Amino acid sequence: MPPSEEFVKAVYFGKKFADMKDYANAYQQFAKADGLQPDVRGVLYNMGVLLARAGRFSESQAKVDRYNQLFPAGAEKPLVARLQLELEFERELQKKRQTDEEYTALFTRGRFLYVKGDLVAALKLFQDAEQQRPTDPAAVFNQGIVYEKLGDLPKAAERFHRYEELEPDAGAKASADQRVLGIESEMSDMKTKIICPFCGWRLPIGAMWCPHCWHGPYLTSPSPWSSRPCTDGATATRATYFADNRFAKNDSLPCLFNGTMLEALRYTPARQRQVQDARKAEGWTYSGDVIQAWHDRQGNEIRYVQGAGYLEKIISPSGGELLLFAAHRADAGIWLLDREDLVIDGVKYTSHYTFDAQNRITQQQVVYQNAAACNDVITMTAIATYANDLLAGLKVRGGYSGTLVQGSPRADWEANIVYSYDDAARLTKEELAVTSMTKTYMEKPYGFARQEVSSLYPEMRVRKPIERMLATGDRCGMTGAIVLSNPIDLRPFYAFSPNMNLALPGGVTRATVSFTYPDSYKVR
Amino acid sequence: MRPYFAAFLGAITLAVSALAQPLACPPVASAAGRPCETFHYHVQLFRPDTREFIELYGINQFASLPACERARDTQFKRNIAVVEFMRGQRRDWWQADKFGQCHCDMTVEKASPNALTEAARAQQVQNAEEIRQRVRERLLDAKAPPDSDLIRDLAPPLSATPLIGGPKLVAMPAPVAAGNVSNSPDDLRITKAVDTTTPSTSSLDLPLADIPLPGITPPAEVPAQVPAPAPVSEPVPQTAPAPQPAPAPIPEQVSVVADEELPSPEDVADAFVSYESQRIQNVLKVSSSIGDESVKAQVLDACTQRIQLLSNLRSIIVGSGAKSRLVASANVAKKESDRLAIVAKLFGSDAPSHWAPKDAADVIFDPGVTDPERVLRDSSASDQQKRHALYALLATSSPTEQQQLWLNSVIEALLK
Repeated sequence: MPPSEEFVKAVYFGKKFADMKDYANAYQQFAKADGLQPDVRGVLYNMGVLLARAGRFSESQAKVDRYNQLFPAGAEKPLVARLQLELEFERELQKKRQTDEEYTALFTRGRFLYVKGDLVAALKLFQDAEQQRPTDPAAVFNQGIVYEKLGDLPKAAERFHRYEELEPDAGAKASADQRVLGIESEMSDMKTKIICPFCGWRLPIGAMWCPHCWHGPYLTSPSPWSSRPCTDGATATRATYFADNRFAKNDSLPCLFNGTMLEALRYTPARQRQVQDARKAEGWTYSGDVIQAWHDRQGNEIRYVQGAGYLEKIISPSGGELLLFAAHRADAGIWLLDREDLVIDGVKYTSHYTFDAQNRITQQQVVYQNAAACNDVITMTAIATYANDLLAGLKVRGGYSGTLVQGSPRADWEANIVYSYDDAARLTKEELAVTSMTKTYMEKPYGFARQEVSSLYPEMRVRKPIERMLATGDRCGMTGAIVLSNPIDLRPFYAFSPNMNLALPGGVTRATVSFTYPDSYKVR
Repeated sequence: MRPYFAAFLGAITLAVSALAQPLACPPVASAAGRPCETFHYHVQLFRPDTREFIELYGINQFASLPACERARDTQFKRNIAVVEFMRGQRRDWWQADKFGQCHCDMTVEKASPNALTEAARAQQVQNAEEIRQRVRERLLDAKAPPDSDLIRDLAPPLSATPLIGGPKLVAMPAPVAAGNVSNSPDDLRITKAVDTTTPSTSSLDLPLADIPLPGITPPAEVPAQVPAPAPVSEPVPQTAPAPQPAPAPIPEQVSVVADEELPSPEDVADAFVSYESQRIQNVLKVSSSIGDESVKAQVLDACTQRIQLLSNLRSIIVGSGAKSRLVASANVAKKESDRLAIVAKLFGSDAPSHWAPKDAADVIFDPGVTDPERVLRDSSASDQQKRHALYALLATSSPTEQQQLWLNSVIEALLK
């Protein structure tokens, strides 16, 4: 039966469209022809070719199958055979592309997780990638990066070494080499450095203070600072007693560090980042690793004025406060404070330190105006003694001269702190005893002050020491019905010990801190 | 009320004049040009016992000018409150303190005449405290309540910035929530193990089939000049007739749409194979006259093999692509010598004499290969061996499509 005119037209148009490389319309025309006169050999074949060109491989395969079914020895057979091969090749290509896409997806997902901070999950994906294509340097490199972020530097170094073996590009290899050098330097720092938990600065083990924020002390060698570990079986209890030996109270002192201070503060990049991230979240800013400033949304601001080697000033432009520091370099990376301003409960204390040849504090002098009481300008001095590298004792003296209006009182006190250690150099007891406290009014107080003093010390006589001062403490004035006093304030002597960090309430003259440790706890 | 108001006005007047006092540090050459980092103000404190003014300039220090001015204003207001109170208590002689402007603190400059040692500074604080106690005593004497703001405000202010006075030893901070951590994606490498240059689909260069359409598609043209096959030079014995030139083969129903610039493999295959088919038909015709039945059988066998070979060769030419050496060589082989040259390249230098036999019996060709595929895959085999193996393979088997693809590459190598 001769083909219909429509069929002829469709076939003709189909070919013309194909000549113009408009395969979509060409296919439509051949499909139309096929609809008018199904299963014409050439039309079937042409539809197969056009469908394949359009990427519709399964439909093309259907046409090929149909052709083979109807015309096993058709004239287009060689072409159909080749089309069949092309379709099989396409399937192979699709399979390869899918494998490639799956592999690339590992990187995409790994990257996403890495950016999100889910490092462990990201690492797993890059490890999977390496399993699939063991010679792909990118999978190995990315593992190195994640290990580095996780703080596992030995593994990071191993990964980067492996990367160098796989990477053919010399430039990329050199850059990895620099990275390995950096990691090895970090690994060395992990053995020799600790970090300041306030600002994250890296300090040599042995540094007492952080020179960029003056937090500390970081006395990692056996010292009272290793006496309060956060481990089971470790306790620190402070008992205070009045002058007549009556018990005042017990304080259970909180633990300070997980394990020893050295273990807790030992430098790792992750730990440093942890500190810096926490401070940044609080509003602190950094220049590199050096802390610079803090501000909040209310316009409050604190600036750390960093000098060439250490923090020279802390200023608060909003509040106006100004803290000054002076220091000297004792060793590589170790700076010792010569002068320090310290604010405790709103009162500014100025300390001057003296050190021995082993960089230990031998003397600390503190001056402050006790604005929390009678505004007396009080001077205190602590002298330390050491035995076998351990702090053995502290002799603290304090005193002031009051104003003429107050009757020119002269007050002096003295206290001793004794430190006891066990055979493992662990602090077992820290005992404070106020050994003397005297106050003598040199003149008669004036006017209203006279009334105040006589109510504070009914038996006060000019130029005669007040009796039983130890039992009453140093009362200096009154505000309304409230008695003001100058306590023996040991808080500025924080660098010696965290355990006697207190202002002794009036009448308290003795304090004992007892420590227990698990047998396994070692401070050396 | 009236005397109180008058006293207040008087106090304001005094205070304003007190503010105007030029209480300032003398300039210091060594500090000139440096930005000021510490500010303070001088104050002349009124000492009620001697009714004199004592100037002090080492009792305040501020990190910024605004903070200094705020503190000075506060201090000024507190002092005015004291003056107001005392004058209200008929102590009209009470004088307001005199405050200088906030300016750069030269007490920290060693070259300044106002420079203060720490001891000297402490002494100024002590002096201020001495005066403060005297003011306090007079205030209490004038019946100011001891726990009133008036008395409390005499004391120097405490630091109000909590972070300034934080603990010296802090615990390790807790890790910041993972949500706040962000790593740069640029830290990571992108894999290059995936070949991104591979196209998503292969290029499909298959031609469309030309479908004969009555009245539209012209009948396929007969090759303009089909060279006559070379006659068998000598008839085989026993009146074996020499093969005659073949009539032009009738084109198949399907011809191929050829690329305009490249020969269509189908056309080339048709032209080449048709001619050669006619040649072997001629041999067959002549072979009927061969008397020796054994020879005749061998000739028939050889012709059958040749037909099989030509069929395979057609498929291979069609499948080899328009740019292949095979198509190019077959396309230009119009002369007999060219054809035989191709035959020699394909099947060995000894093949042409059998391919175009002068005598029908010469068509018999034993390439001497028992396992042609093995020979063709054997890299140590010589080209001549491979050519014989190709003849044997094409003449005795029907290669699969995959084998045909492989044979394409074999032939391409042989035609180099």
